Amino acid sequence: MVQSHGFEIKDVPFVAIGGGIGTFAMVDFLRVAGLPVESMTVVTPALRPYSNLESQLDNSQIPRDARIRSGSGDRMDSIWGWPGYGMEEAFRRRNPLMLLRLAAEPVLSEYYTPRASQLYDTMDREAARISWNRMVVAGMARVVRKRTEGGYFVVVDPLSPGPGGSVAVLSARYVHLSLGVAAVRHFPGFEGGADPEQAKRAVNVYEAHEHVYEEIRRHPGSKVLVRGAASSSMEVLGRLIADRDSYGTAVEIFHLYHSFFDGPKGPARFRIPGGNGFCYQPFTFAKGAFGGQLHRRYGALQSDAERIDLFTKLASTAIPKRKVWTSRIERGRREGWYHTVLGAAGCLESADGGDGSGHVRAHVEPLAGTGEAERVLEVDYVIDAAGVDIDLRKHSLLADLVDCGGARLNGLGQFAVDASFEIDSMHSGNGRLFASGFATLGNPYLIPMYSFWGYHYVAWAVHRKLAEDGFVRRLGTGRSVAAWWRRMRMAEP
Amino acid sequence: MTFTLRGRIETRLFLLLTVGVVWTAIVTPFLPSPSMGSGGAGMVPMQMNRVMVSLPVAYNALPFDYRMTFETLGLMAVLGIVWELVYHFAQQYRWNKDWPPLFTLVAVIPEGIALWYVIHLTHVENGSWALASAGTAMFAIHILSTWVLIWVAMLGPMKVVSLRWRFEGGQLW
Ligand SMILES: Cc1cc2nc3c(=O)[nH]c(=O)nc-3n(C[C@H](O)[C@H](O)[C@H](O)COP(=O)(O)OP(=O)(O)OC[C@H]3O[C@@H](n4cnc5c(N)ncnc54)[C@H](O)[C@@H]3O)c2cc1C
Repeated sequence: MVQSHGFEIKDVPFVAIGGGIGTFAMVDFLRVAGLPVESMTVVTPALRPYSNLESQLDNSQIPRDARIRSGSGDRMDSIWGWPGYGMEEAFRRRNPLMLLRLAAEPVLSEYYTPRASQLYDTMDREAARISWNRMVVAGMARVVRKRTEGGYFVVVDPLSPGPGGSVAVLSARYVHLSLGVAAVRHFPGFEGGADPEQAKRAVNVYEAHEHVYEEIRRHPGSKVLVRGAASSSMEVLGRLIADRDSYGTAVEIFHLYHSFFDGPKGPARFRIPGGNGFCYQPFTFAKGAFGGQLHRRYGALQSDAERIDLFTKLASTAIPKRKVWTSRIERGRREGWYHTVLGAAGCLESADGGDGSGHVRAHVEPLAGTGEAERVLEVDYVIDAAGVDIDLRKHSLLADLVDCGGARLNGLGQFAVDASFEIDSMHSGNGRLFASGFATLGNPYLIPMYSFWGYHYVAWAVHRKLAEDGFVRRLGTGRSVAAWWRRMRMAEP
Repeated sequence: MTFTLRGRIETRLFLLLTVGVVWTAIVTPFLPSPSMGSGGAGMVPMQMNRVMVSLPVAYNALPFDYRMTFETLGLMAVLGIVWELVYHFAQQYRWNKDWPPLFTLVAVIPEGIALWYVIHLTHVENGSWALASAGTAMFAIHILSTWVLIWVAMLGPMKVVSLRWRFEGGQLW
């Protein structure tokens, strides 16, 4: 510890900021590769590495016992992903048939996906194994600045100020950022805090909005606009329809999204499956983007424009084809309480809700080329499930890196990184600043940045760079097998 | 993880060379050799003046069997490269550009049948060409068991052996 300008400065070689899924992947990887607890500090306000994801999953109607989206092999608590969640569940339930099902997916069955509780519980176990809590400094990182002698200072607002005062400063050679999404998305014109009544009626799926379902139960015949055609909108529809069936809410649903798929679309070698109005893809990204030939194709592209084009196609708004989902919607169409509205979100206005008109007026702009007029939907609630806002300027720490730190951005407005996911414009002496997740989207190497597999990929790439620097030993075959065996025995890495 | 074409080929060659070789070395003595077990007296197919005859002799069949199983394994690797090209082509018609494990498992049927003819064509096996003949059991058990082991290795253990394999489309180098 050194004293300087009245702040306590703590030296630690590797500081990971965020403490969510991306941070856990990084820290777990490096612990497995042999870094001791003392070499790493995690700055996070979160109690557990999955706290943020858990609240997003809860809000988007995936409680503990429901199944998440990614598959068996995308294990957050194991850098190898094997044995997968499915195998573990099969053993726990002594159900060999599950193994057969896993071997036959997705040909003879839908993809297996683990329950949220399995994700959390196994992460707790792994966190205990790598002594996660001993590495955590509870607080928010405010700024990351280059040190003149190389490396970085990280200024932290501790959750509970210690003897050193209300600020702590960490001095690190390496810093890794994984801060999740900067903000959630709302309809243009959403007033937020300025109009509390509207904020209650127009919600984002990732934020707490249980009150909406309660209100709908209290006011039968309410009209709801659900925006977006990805899987979180399906979970919302599932909840609305389940309540409709159990409580007789007689809710009327308007489902707003961009393009209607009455069947597969595209040329034979690039044909995306679809039907029932939706585009089908089992995971958030086309499977071949997880290291396969689409990953290769993406890596070979030369311009940002081409990359963004391929990215948007492979990460298209799609849902896994699940029978329960499609049959619910078919029933809604047949019975006349589910309507598809094609168009783009225009703007939002509050209305008085008198004479049976809605409380919110949502303008829907027609799709280009259809020649239709703008539509105005009067509804009582808007549930926005159209994704997240990736504008990194909405996150003060990231905005500061751009404005004061001089970090360069890519064509998608995210940090420009090199193949080891280092923000190379922030290089500082022998120090490096790495990033994973949303803030690196549009990089020329990897598509599924916000996926469990993607976070592990980044951790692997960072570990190889650190090995080149001589900071950590590389996990080659021998060390990988040995480390895996230690983990199977749940021995400390 | 999903395969790239290079990853497919590298994985196949690597697994045949490791799992395939070790397993073949272990299992060959226990295979139902058409020359009746690993030694003693039996009928040995031999070529005499360009005519195949079976002669009763006392002999040790094991070297013959090993030669056959290993040559079969080698041909399986060579042909496999061609097969992987075919699968990769077929994969272009799948939106996800992936190759479900079940496809890999059942591929042993066409591959095995083709291989059966190729080992006759190349005189690795000199018995009858008929799909059901004296040599079939030995061939089928050897190929099937090797295939299943390789398939199981691809379902997971490979990720432990090589992290690169998990992240770079099944590529090892
Ligand atoms: C509803 C939902 C379901 C998903 N399901 C899947 C799935 O099934 N499979 C899959 O692969 N992916 C899934 N994802 C995508 C992705 O894996 C998750 O979003 C993941 O949580 C992202 O990890 P992250 O590290 O980027 O952010 P998070 O896990 O959200 O963690 C970010 C952390 O950073 C902290 N933080 C922010 N600012 C600061 C600061 N200044 N200082 C310190 N800490 C800070 C936050 O408090 C938070 O704890 C899902 C995403 C969502 C929203």
